[in-house]
Amino acid sequence: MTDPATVGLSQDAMTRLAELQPGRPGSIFTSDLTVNEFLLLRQAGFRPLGLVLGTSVYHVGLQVGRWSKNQEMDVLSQAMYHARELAMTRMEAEADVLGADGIVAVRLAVELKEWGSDIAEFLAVGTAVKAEADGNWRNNRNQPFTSDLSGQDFWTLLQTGYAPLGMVMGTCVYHVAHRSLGNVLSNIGQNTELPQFTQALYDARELAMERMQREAESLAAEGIVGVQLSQHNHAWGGHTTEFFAVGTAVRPIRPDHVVPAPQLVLGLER
Amino acid sequence: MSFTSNLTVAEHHAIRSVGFAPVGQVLGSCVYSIGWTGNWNCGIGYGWGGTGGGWTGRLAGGSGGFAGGGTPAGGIAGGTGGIGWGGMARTVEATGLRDSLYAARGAAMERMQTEAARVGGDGVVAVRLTVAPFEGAGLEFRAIGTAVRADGDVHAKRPFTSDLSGQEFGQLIAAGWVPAALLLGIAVMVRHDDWRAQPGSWTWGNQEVVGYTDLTARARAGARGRLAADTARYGEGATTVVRDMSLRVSRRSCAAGNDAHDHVAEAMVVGTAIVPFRHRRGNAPVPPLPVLRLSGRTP
Repeated sequence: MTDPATVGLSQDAMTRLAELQPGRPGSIFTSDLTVNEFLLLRQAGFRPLGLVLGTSVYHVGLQVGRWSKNQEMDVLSQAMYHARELAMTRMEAEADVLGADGIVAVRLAVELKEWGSDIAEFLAVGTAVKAEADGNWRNNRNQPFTSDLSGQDFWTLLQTGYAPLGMVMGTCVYHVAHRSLGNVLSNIGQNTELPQFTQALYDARELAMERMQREAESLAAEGIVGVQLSQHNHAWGGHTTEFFAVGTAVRPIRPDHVVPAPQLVLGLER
Repeated sequence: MSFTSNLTVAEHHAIRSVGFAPVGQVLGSCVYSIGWTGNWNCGIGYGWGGTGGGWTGRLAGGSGGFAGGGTPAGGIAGGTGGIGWGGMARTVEATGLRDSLYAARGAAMERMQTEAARVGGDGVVAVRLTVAPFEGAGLEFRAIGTAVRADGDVHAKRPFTSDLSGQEFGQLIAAGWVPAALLLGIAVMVRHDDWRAQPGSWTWGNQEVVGYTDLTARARAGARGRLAADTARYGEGATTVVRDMSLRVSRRSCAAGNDAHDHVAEAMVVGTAIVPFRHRRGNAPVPPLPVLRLSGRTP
């Protein structure tokens, strides 16, 4: 026999569905969240205001790396940074208009479409949120905070006594030198490290990470969580690579960071 | 009576645990021919102020009307892109093509809903919308999902639709939200390629391509705007949880000739509108319980 409580639950839901009426404008919102994220966000005391988005179609300039030199391609680095910044700024402007305290679950994407070579769409999408209770959630530039954390991560972060300040990023497009003929010949048939390549990868990552860190410092953050470090070749061939670091800068909202011990569960699913 | 469904065991359990039961798998299909009827109006060569279009669609068989996705009224609010200039090419909406896409998907969803009502369903969960080429006759738009029925004696007048999984549906009902309808936001925008869209021909430097930015921003804004307008039909407190957002861009020859081209951007947003309800029988929503999994690795 079905539990009467669950029957009641379905009855309540169906009663509400039967009473649907067109609403006043302004009382509705859309969000780019999964159901799980949406419910957790509500539970954490935030209300989604709407899906916000910024886009920029950008022509990435031309720069040719020296064949045998490890070097940063600064024109390309600037393009990748500037285009993302344009998209993010437009997204933030939309959130500002909605009177948001912040933007959660931000996704950054670079999409190559039928525009022709060297042109890509840079996209930033997220959900603008507002806290139910009063409090200052904006960052030191009086902008809504941004965060690429999922709803689940956002909830957990708040439980541990931290709040997001802003998404911080750093990028570096690097040209890795080709090996000289002599080097190729001398290493034939040998197991050996190629120090020039190793060095190039270290340098490029370091530059990207350092730029990201500098952004966090300018927001007066205590640290950065959820850093993702990725490499993209885009359309530049094998030796020119973008190293992209992105994460969420956080600040403490209370002195102690004690969290209740979680329940241990043994999942039944695979 | 036995039921059919494409629910997983876990989804089935989640639906049962909030007082619903699956009644059967339901399907709606619509084969639609999208035809080319004359000029492609990007506003160049055919006078100013064109509203785009030129595409019309017709239903290939079937009589089901269109209601499911909601018919958007009016055009998109112009000038939302924040990029303004006078003169030449501008972004215009291809309303004919947009309406055809709405009509085809709407017909498929409407038929699925009718099927759900016929088997006594109060709603449809896990709806998947697909488009596939139909041999020799355009495109087949299809909506498929599982109809569910409330255990109690209160039933919906018209079944709701949603693309939620069984688990998501269970979570929502337990937290005091009920799905109202699967919504689509569609916008198709056209823009003539002029010098603002041809940066390579006049500079090698880093440069935003303002023409294309305007095109994509307006297509996406149009789709989002329509989704929000549709959400408003479900009243105070309604929200839409978006599942998918896509943009397709293609390049076509311009009807104005002279080797000119237009770019067409087709934006689509899919989500489920949900509305809050009050638990009256002491079924207050439970707060989340933090757990640490002992099985497997976290993804």
